Amino acid sequence: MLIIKDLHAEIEGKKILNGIDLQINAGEVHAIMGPNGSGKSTLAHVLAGREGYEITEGSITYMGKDLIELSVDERAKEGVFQAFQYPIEIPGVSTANFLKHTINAVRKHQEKTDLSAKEMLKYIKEKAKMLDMEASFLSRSLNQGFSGGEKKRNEILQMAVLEPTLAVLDETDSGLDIDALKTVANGVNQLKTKDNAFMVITHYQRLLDYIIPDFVHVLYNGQIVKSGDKKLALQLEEKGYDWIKEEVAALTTS
Amino acid sequence: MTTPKTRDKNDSRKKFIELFQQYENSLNGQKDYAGHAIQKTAIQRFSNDVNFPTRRNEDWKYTNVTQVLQPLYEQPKLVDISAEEIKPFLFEGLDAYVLVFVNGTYNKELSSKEELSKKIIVQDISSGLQEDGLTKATTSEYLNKWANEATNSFRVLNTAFAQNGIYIAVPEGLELDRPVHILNIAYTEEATVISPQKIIVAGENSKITVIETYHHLTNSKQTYFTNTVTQLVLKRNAIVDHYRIQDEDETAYFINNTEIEQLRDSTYSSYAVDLGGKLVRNNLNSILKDRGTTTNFYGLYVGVNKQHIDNQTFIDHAYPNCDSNELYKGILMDKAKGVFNGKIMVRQDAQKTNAFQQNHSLVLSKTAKMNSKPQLEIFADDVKCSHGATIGQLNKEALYYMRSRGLSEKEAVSILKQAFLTEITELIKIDPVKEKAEQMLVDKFKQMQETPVN
Repeated sequence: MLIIKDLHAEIEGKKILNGIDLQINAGEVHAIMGPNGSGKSTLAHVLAGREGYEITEGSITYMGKDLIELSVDERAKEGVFQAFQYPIEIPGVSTANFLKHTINAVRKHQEKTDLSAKEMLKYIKEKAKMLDMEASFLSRSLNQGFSGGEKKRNEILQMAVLEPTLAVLDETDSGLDIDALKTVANGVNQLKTKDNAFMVITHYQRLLDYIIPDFVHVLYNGQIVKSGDKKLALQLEEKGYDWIKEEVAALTTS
Repeated sequence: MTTPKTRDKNDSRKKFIELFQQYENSLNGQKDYAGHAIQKTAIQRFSNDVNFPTRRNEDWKYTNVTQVLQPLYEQPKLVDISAEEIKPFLFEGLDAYVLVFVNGTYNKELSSKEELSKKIIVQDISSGLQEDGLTKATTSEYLNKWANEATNSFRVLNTAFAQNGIYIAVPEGLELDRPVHILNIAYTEEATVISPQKIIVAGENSKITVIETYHHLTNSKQTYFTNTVTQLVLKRNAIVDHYRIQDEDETAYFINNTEIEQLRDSTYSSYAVDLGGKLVRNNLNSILKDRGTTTNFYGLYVGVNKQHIDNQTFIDHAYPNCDSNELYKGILMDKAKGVFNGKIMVRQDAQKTNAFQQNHSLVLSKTAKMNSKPQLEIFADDVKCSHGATIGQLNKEALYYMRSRGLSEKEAVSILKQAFLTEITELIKIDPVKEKAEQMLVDKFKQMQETPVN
């Protein structure tokens, strides 16, 4: 589904990603971990198509297409979804109205007809229920005055209604208490199918107790320096990142 | 009577004086009617002591009226309009008393006067002036005041040229069951000066909703000039909700003079929507004549192409315990210009005043412009007052966020523009009016070109 080859990217002339190779297949969950400043969020932004990131080398192929050539909204319509680390507040646009617009935009792209107002509301409410979100949520302005947990749940709600093929969760666990974390993880697990894939970016192993990854990758200095299964996450939780840094240092000096 | 062949730009007054002479000559036998004497006084004063404002005048610093005064205007011709033709301008699903003005003249045939007269006083001003009693006293009081004392040249001009305005009085204690929709239609072939005139008095403890709308029927190449005067008087404890939706032709000039007198414990709320017009100037003044009043001024404006929209508001706090609230928001595109000049005076006796004022604008092209000038002058010491203005662009983060969910840039921009004005539209208390205003905004945004996000 996604093949990243030798990806280099920089922002304002500063090199952040220094040759990332990664393949994600349908039905897989990949966790990306790593210390602060290792390039985790940059990877998410580059996949989503955020402006300001310059790709200097390498390629990203998604469903056989050159992802880099697609605009932000085209990527979304093609099924790439990024759950934001810091969701944006948009006063004056109700959550329901926003969801309605996005659902219809994606459906139009898939050459499906618009949902009727009634069908739309039913569909959105079902998904909200799955995430333990009250209906009153939907009439509030998008993310405005939402707590950290509410904002993250709202991200997952957007993911749930758009049913993406590739979802990138950028530190969705940060700022969540354990109950909210479980709800969010539960939502993700319910959305998992054999046809979609998840990239879960996180600092902590905690989230991976609930969303079980097939692969864990450690990002450091803009490269994937170590890959493994879920045991690697436990190892990192226990020992921190210093041993990884040392391994990398040893490799580069030898 | 000869029409001047050359137009000296310093001679705009003369053009109107000559137009008045022309109009007088056409009157024949109607000269003895009471209103005519007032019109004559107004034009006399206009020729002797009143000047059109120039940009040297602080209140007109950002709005040059030279172009408004350039054409050789005619008085409106009588035109026939059918009930069918006004239909598109009515609010769908709103049961209202409708009073229709065609080219500034009150049109009885199209209006629901009979029905409304059972509840309140509705009288055309020219007949009202000839009656006895309160109608005559009130109409002649205001008309004479405008003719003899008004310093605003456009108000004097309106007094000279207004053909047949309307006087509305809500009796003491009456809450009118339905809104009164005053529908103004411009239907002109030639350069025409349109002078609607309205005097609305809400009696003690009465309540009324007035919706003034301004539309046009033809897309004539010739410009026209709507110079309108609306006077509202709120007696003790009266409540007036006053909506004004202006959707004039984009070649039209629109100068609106609205003045409110508020007596004790009265509540006046203005909701203004300005979408049309080439040059628009709204003068909205509230004179607080006693304590305990509430004044709400809400407004939104959207300018495209070369539109120029100027909102001047003035709230004069002269007595204690009065509240005023003001919020204007607007969007300017292309080469459009916006002006907001909101003046709040808190005089020495006006203790315990609460006065809040905000103006926020989005300027979405490099060639669009907004001048915002909130002015607060406070001479009392025990007051709560604040004012603020912002001028900005669309939030780029929000745009990115929306696009990352599959909305095209165009869709995202359009949603954000609408959202920016929601703070005003959601204040509109009557659903059919709110829905229509929102639809008009959507239509207006469609008319806008692709927004460059810089």
